[in-house]
Amino acid sequence: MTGSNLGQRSLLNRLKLVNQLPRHMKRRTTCYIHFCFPALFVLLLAAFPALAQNKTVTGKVTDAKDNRALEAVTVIVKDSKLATQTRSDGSFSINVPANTKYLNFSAIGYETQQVQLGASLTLAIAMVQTEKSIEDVVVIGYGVTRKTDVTSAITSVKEKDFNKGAVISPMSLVQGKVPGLVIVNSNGTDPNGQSSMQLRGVSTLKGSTSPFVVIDGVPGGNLNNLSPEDVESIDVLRDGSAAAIYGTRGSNGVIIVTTKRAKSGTASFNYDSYVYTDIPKKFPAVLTAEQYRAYADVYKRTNPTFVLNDGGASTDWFKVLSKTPVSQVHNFSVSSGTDKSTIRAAVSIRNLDGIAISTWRKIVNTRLSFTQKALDNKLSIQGNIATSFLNYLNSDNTIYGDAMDRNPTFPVFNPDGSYFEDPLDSKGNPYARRMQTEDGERIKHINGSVKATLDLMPNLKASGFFAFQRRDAISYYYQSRDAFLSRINGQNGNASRSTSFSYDRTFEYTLDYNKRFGKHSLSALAGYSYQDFMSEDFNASNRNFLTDAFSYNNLGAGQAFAAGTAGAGLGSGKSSSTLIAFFGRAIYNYNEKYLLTASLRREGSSKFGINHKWGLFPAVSLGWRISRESFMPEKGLFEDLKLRLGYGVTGNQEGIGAYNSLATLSTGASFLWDNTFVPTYGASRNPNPDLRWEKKTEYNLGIDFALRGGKVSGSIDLYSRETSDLLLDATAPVPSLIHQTILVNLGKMRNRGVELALNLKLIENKKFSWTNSLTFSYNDNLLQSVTYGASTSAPVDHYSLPQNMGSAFRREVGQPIGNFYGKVFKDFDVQNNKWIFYTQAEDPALDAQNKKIIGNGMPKMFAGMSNNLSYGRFDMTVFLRGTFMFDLLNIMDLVYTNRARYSNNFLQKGLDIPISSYAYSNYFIEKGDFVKLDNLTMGYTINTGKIKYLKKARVYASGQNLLTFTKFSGRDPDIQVNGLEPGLAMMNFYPRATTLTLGISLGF
Amino acid sequence: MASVFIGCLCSSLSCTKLDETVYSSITAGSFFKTREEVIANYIRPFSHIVGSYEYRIWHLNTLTTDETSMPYKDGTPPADGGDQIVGLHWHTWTKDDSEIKNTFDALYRGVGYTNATIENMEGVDFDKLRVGLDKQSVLAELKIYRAWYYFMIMDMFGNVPIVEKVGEPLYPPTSERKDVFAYVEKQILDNMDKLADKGTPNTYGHITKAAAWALLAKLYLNAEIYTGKLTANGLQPGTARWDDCIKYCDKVLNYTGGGGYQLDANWNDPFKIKNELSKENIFVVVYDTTYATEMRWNYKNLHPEHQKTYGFGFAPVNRAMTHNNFYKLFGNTDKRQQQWLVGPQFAADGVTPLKCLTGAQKGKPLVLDPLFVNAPGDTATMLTAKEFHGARNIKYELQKGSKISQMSNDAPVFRLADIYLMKAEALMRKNGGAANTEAVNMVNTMRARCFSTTDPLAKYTTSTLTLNELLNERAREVAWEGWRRNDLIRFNKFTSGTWWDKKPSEAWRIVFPIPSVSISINPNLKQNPGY
Repeated sequence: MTGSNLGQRSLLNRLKLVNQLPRHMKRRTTCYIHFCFPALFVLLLAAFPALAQNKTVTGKVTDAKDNRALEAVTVIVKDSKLATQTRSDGSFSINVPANTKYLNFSAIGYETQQVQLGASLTLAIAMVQTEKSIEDVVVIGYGVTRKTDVTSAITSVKEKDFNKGAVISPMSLVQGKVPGLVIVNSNGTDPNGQSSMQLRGVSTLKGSTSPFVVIDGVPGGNLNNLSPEDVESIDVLRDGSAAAIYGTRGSNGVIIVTTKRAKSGTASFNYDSYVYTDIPKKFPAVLTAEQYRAYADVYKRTNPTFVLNDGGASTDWFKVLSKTPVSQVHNFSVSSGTDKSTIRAAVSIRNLDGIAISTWRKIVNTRLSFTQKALDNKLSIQGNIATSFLNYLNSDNTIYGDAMDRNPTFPVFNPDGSYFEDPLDSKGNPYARRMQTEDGERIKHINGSVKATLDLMPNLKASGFFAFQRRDAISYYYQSRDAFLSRINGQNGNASRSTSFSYDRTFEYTLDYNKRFGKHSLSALAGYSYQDFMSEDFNASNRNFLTDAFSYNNLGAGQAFAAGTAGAGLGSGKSSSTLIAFFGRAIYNYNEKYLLTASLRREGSSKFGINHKWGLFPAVSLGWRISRESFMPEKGLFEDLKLRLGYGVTGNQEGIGAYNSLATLSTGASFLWDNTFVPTYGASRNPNPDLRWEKKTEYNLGIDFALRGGKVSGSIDLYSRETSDLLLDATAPVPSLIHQTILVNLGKMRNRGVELALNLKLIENKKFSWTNSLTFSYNDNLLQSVTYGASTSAPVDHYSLPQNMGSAFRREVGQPIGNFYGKVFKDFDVQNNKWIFYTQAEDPALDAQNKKIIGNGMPKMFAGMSNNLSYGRFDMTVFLRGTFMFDLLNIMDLVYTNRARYSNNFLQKGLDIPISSYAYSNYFIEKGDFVKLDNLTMGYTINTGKIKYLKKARVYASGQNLLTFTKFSGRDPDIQVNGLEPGLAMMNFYPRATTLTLGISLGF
Repeated sequence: MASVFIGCLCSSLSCTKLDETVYSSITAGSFFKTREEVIANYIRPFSHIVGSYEYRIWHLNTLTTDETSMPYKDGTPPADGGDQIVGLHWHTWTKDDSEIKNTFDALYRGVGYTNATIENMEGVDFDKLRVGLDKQSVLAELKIYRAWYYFMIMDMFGNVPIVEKVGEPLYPPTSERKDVFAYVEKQILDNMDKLADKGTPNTYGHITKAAAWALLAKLYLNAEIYTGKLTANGLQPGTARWDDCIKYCDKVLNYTGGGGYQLDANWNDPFKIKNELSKENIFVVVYDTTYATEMRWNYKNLHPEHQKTYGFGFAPVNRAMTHNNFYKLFGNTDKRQQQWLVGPQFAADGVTPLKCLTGAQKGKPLVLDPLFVNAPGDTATMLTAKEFHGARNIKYELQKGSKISQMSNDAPVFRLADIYLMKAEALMRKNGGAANTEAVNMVNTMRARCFSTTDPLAKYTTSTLTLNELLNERAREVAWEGWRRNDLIRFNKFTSGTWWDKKPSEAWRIVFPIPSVSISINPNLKQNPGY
């Protein structure tokens, strides 16, 4: 008590101190109090009065629904520490002070009940199951809400609906499950591959298109150090009215990942493991050694001086560069919980192996989460700590590109065992290059967070949240002195190392108010958020080593650095930024019929220009539960029918780097001073004091429905989102500025679309069930304007194609992103070995360059369908995924069908093209539409009823990427379609594979 | 728990403060704390010009003339601009050409760097930081240095905007060429007396007194052009300033500060690798193989096979060549003819012939042929030239055995020989185009080093030194120095002249267009007449 009083006094003293401070310090001090907020907990601790005189209350607690006795229900005297728990028959007995007025009954999964003590000291309590059981709760950012109260487009995917089988990234768990969310693993099962995400189309010209990720409340969470097995649910805030609570980072949508926590009253040990292998599907068909030799005679007819460079071997370079990988994943978790505290610990060991030689990734993730209640359950503390240790060898996709370009008669090795290299070659033996290069990285992640929530009053809670994320990486690279490129470039060994360190901290304080009065229900939130980011890096490289013995471990041994020659150097950097926000939200519900959610976030970033440090991000959404209206028939078609309308303003600041708005100085070319050349310093960029976030305004109209009987439910959403103030490196006015480009906000882009989610319970009986869930989305993108200075910017051609074939894309106002722009194929001019293209005279749709828009790489339509079947103890999942209405530019064919590459190799397709000349045209544009049998999983749950110690056991087998239905002639049409350069079927690739998985899941 | 909260209590966070803390970057506020920092920014503008003076600025002033060309070679388009480079030769450039835009930007970026440095220097306390330089002298120099940029911009682009502060105004309006002329003149006149003398430490590559006078002389020599009006029908000439030109030529000629300037003993001394030793060069752009790069004539002019002649560690790219319309101006007894490589070429041993590398001539000896224009059986155009066409220029001394395709020779902007020729021209023009004795003496004195003392061709007389002959003499003396366009315009031969496959062009092409992209961004800019 004394201690608490002290705390109280010292805080008061501090408050007094504030008034005595000189005026200029006051602003800081107010903030200081803000950070003193946690001290309130201490203060309130002192506020509980002591108790005296007793009486005994007894009774029984049952479930209101089925009258079964409830064990482990907490019975607590209101505003005191006195508590007990019900026994296994539901009975309890508690000694309470004579003046006790209320008893509180609480249990996980049930509504807490407050009972007023009357004359009777024997109570019969019926507990009502809480509506917020996991299925009905949606995570909305800074809190959760009942699904029925949701007025925005939010998709919540729980663990049972996750994709099964081998999962590289947590986001693969929901691929195809969230309408509008496009997840692409363009490298398939490359263990080092990253999935890219995009929601409701592209709405930026420069920033990232990836949604904002929040993991257990940590804004900007890193998915790379999260084991998919630790994920409990993934909630996606699809529309602006939901995402606006995340302000400057909400424009691309928000993905909220919730990890698993132990449940009260449980104690379990789980072991989940699977092993998988990848079987490459389809390698490009280049000439085999036999075809290659045979072609020499044909080639000589047009190239009489040609001499076949026959290496004497028959090598399938793709095979040489590939292996049959075996990957293993082991996941252990223990969890236990009482009503006061829970703890869960998990370790995940993942040895992921790649198809490509010398490609693997090893990961050890640990995650510890706990909750603790104190102060008569008034204070609850939640904590997480997670570590991730990664070690990987980089995937090098250029080796497969080079394999296409490799003479198939060349052997891999010389007879003496050394690598075969051809003196006339320019790239060298790709197998040798891979084996002579060590290129990898080790990364450590440590993340932690703690959240304390205190019930200030029955309806008011205060929370303080602190989180940090820390990443340390060190990379290593060495290419042997013997490597072909090292030799022809005179490098004599090429070593480099780099380290990087990044750290961010989050401090958030929130007040939650929940009150139900009569038919009104209000849930309000107010908060403050502070996040800062820091990153540092250092790198060094050297060349010219006497020996390979040092590898990358002794950079100083190389001679190039001291000699000041190319390829040796040092670098380091450090930058920081800060984000600060104030936010509030109110969710109002009248009679469970009319719903209103309104939120406002005022957010500022250090990266914004001085004239626009702070932005305002409002959102309003309305819901009308029509099914609850009296005019709807009581037993009619709809069990639930809700109409939603949302409006929200969000931002995207990913395109702005630290210091981009400032006038900074950097070194320019050297100049003479005192007879030596010294570095000069001058302006390094055009400053932009007006630099700010990209602003997106979005309208969303949605319907949620459930037909009576629960067999059919779903939602439909229509949206229109307009992004203004698009960020772009625009051509600057020179004069008066110094640099030719300036990062500015200009332009507008619009995305419109429709999304559909449908859940069908086709068959449901005791033995057999079949459910089907379907997602569908359609998006239409339009770049509305790009204006800087006096006029609309001219069209921008981008993505340079190889062999000087010009640019693949044209970005212009009035058109969608991802337009392929080029010539139109008419015929071959065999005589002159030339392509004949249509001219403007023949086709008025062509422009003066005889070009036009010849396709678009951004799919307009996506669909996913998953079927879950179960029969007795057997279960089966069949998941189909499709992407539609887009074109692919087959760059692989564009380059490698050219027979002029014969001295290396070319695609067999090239034999059908009568000329051998490089030109970009619609000849190489193909429809990309495809449907994939993406996942087929069969499982069997073993009857553990008679097995001691074993609570559950399931075995399963899974096949991924099993079948692809498409007209695309290339490798696999499921390539990168997110971002600003979608639909390029590249020359360099990581082989796509069918993945076969065997797994077991045991619970003890 | 407790420590976390203590951590946030003690943290130095501030709840609404969004200032950026810089680490591996510098803002002006964190700079200018030491002498070295002040100097590093003072000399920033001088290092800017290096990347374009012997590159794009040179291209626009030289490839548009008879002096040299960069044609297709055996079907391969010229690098650094492709068909735009060909368009320079044919006078078919357009306002959309990126090469023109990049040149325009490079010049104005130099203005920008100078503007920024002037603003920075004004805020620096030179005494407190013990910079060791006179602040007024530094500011005067920077203003005249900026005036030199404006001289080039006005010379090349005609009616152009004047900006003295970075970003203010953001969209500056176009000024008439005559007003830019007056601005340049005033900047020099107002500031030249504060400049350092020749020989003051750290003035090499800077604007000293004589450099400012040379710039003024050049300005006045062209005053009739610069103060004239640009129209769609060509130029309406303005006011000539021959006396002023002579006045400032004389100031340079009579200058004794730091020992004054003298003609070097040999015609090519000003172009040696170590031409910082030249007594003749008044103002140079400083080049270095490592620190100040883009002087690359060893790489751009020579044939790849010349690698064997000079023992280079790289293969040159055979880009620039000169044809007989210009080459024939050089007499056989004129030592300046030595700047051209013609005829059979040999390796370093002097006997092993170099070979052609492409096309039908592949494997045959490389014989450089400048006399192909209108030669029987040779129809080479800018599009069909072959690797052996044209003479190669080696005016700048080549470093044998160089491993780097860069040179350390500094590029003279103003040198005494040019002052002699400028004064001679002004005297003649003032005299109705006829030479007087003084003019003849100027030219003869200047060119004496190019001939043997007994050579009858060495000396002009008042009757042989016609204006046309003076132009030819300028061609011989200042070839490869970027003055040919300026000279041809003054002699009214730039657009009307023909050479090789270049035909007469529109009279308004005496200035380049304001780049269309620049106008689309800045609506206050006006396009030059004709474009």
